[in-house]
Amino acid sequence: MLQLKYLQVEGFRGFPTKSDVLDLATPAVLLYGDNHQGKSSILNAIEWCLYGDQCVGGRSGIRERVGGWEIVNRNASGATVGLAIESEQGVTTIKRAQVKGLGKKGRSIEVILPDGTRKEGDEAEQEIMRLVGLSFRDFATTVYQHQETIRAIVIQPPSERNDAIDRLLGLSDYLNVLDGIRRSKIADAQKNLINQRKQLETRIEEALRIRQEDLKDKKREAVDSGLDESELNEEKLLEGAENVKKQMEEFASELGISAAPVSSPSDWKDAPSFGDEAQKELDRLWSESPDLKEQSELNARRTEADALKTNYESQRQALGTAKAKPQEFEREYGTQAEINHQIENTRKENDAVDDQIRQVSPKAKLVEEGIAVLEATRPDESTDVCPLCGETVPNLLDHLRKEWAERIEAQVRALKARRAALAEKRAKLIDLKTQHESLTENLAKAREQLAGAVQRAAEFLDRELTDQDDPAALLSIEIGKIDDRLKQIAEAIKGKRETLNRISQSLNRLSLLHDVLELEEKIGRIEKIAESDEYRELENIRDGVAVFVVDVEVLDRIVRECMAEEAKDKMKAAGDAIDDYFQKIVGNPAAQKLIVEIEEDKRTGGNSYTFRDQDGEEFKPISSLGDMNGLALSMFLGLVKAYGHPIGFVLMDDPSQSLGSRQKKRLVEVLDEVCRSGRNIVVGTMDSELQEFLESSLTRAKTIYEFSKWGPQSGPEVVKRV
Amino acid sequence: MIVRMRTLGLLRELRNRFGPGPFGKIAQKLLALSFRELGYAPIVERSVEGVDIDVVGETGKKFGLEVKTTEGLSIGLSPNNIQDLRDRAKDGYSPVIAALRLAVFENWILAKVPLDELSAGQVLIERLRAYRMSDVENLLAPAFERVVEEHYQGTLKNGQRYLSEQLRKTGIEIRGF
Repeated sequence: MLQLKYLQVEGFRGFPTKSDVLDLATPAVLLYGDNHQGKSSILNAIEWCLYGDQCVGGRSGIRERVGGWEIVNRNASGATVGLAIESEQGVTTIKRAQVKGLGKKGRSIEVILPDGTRKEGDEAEQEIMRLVGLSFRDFATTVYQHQETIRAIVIQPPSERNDAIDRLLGLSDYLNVLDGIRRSKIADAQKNLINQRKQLETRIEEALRIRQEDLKDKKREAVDSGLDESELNEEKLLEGAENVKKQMEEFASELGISAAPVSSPSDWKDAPSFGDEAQKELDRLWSESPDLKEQSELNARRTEADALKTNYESQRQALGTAKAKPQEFEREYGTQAEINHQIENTRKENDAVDDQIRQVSPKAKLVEEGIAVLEATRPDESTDVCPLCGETVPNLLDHLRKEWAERIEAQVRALKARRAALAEKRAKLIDLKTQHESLTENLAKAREQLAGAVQRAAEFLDRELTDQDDPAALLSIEIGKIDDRLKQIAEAIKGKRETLNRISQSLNRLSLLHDVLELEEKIGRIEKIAESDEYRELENIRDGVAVFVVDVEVLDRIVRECMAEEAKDKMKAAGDAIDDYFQKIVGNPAAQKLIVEIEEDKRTGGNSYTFRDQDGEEFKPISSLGDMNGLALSMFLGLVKAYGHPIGFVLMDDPSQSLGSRQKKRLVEVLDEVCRSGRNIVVGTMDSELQEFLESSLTRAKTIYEFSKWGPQSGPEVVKRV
Repeated sequence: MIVRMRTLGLLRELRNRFGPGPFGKIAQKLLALSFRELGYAPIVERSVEGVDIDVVGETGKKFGLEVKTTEGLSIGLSPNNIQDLRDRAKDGYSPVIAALRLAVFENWILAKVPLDELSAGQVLIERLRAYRMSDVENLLAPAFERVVEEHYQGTLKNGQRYLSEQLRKTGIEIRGF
């Protein structure tokens, strides 16, 4: 069996500096000291030297080593552990080192085999594995009793204890896989997929609902238009289009004009273009229908006849008025010649008054003219020079105005009044003359316009009209004839319009049918989504996820089953030894036998451990902390005994955590038994009572190291006591 | 393949007309007719005890179908349903859950679920996809469309009675009412 020989550490965990070489070759090596003095670092160093990174972090399966568990001491630049192990072949020395901050590059391993061969790197790791022949998991379960494991079992609530026992049994790999499965939340991913699919479904349902309602409305409209529900199909649409075409040809024939060819739809989707083309042709046929044309022409002719008749009557009335007005005028004011004569007489009379004015007062005339000249020529300047005789008279204008006012004005005033009256009379006569001329012109114009109206009526009636004809009567007769013909045409058109309406209704039904088919196609288009590559891909994903979810569940179940099987196997192999150690350590007289039952934990799906006594009763005292510690140690030592691996030493870290005095003594007796069976023990403890028992009751040779005075820069002081 | 919109509309009308319970039986009979159309024989359709449908394919492959319809995302499996499937498995019938979700873009899922993985309670239809018999589903889908189209009017008028007559006419054995 492999036995530890010696160990030296530097820069490793609690050792910032190089330690002395620790002799580990005696059957018992006891490490004493208070907490945080470096005892556990020695045990950790043995483990790290053998397993390197496997005992660090999450992969170690030890919860306390996840995060913050440092290899290199904070005050050291690197860690080095040297370990000598003796096998049947001789002593193998192992040196593992790690430089701080360099990652993998800073790690090194060196092995010197008993024959002196030196191995490094992977080869060295392989040599170590060949030498130890034990996985880290098994090492941690059956060689090295970690205080964390014992503590977990002792202090965990009963509901969490199963997990701790699983780890004690070295089942943490299974637990980690199960934890990974749980964390992956595969079922949640599937639910998320279902929800997203459901959202898509809701949108599709909504789109479908809208289209189906539109379709329902359109179908109802189609049925109301005379179609049967069973006729709402493409075949009926194409048949309907042919019928429309035929109806149009018959209609054209009935109208007596030739129909332009309208192309039949070959597909229901062509229905709108067919409808447009047919409607245009229908409009053309109708507009070019002879009856309709004649009706249109007759309506225009009738309108014209009405207008001509109205115009004629209006002009005739206007002429009558134009004739009467000059007659009335002459009766009141005289003829044109008489007015002219009066105007001449008035002019002569006026000339005579002017003469009288000049004769009555030549001086007055002169004065008046002088004032007028002076006022007109030099209105702003006073002059004393007479403009008529050239003599100078002081204040001439004032003098003339005074002369005019005092002596001449009275004489002239009467003559001037007479002259003004004559001017007024003459103006009136001229106005009368103008009025008479205007009336005469109006009469001529009215005659001319009436002649024009007669001329236009003659042209409309296509005959000559003389003064002996009555155009109004002739036009009335013509209007009557037009009305008679329009009545005849309206009758003829009525039947044709009914045909036209029938064809229009057929076209409308075709349009409705098309709309129905189009909506059905739109609904069908939604179905096409399911034929898309993307949707197929989604379906494949759904299937794949479903299979994956089931696979993971099966995997989960298998892992649990394997975990349970392995636990049962280990318990079966170590059961007697565990029972034996349990009886020896715990020493409960009521429990003559400890039976460990393993079942599936219905809550977690993991293992559930039940401890029963020889009568199958649940072992109640197991709830005490001391008993729990005893159970954990029993399981560890039982597994050590049952496992039968080649490692000839056991590492125990603070094993007496919650044990009572008697249990500690019993534990030492058990350890003595282990030593005597050929396995060396390395025990680290701060428990002075346990130390006493170890020193007094261990019957094999022992080496004691006392750890104390630990400082951050110096590390512990380690004193060997033999 | 999905149930066509038109067929889905017809099925929904039948469901609205007869209610969810009777509609389940109607769907079961329509499914039996669809298997008949695919050439499965003999076929037994049950209205009372036992699995809902037994079918035997042309190659002699036997299936015992527990038929479920729903508008939701899951179906309910009772302990009796599972026991019925176990019983048929003893006679050489592969246990199959035939689930139809009445929603757009869905169709029958024929899931050959291992008996030891079946447990009573609500089962997500999505989960059944892990065990689906896609080859049979692909053949069944168009047959089911035709069967629904053909028997819709008769079913709408006379419900299950009409379909039972059709089952008899096509040589499907009916057990129960």
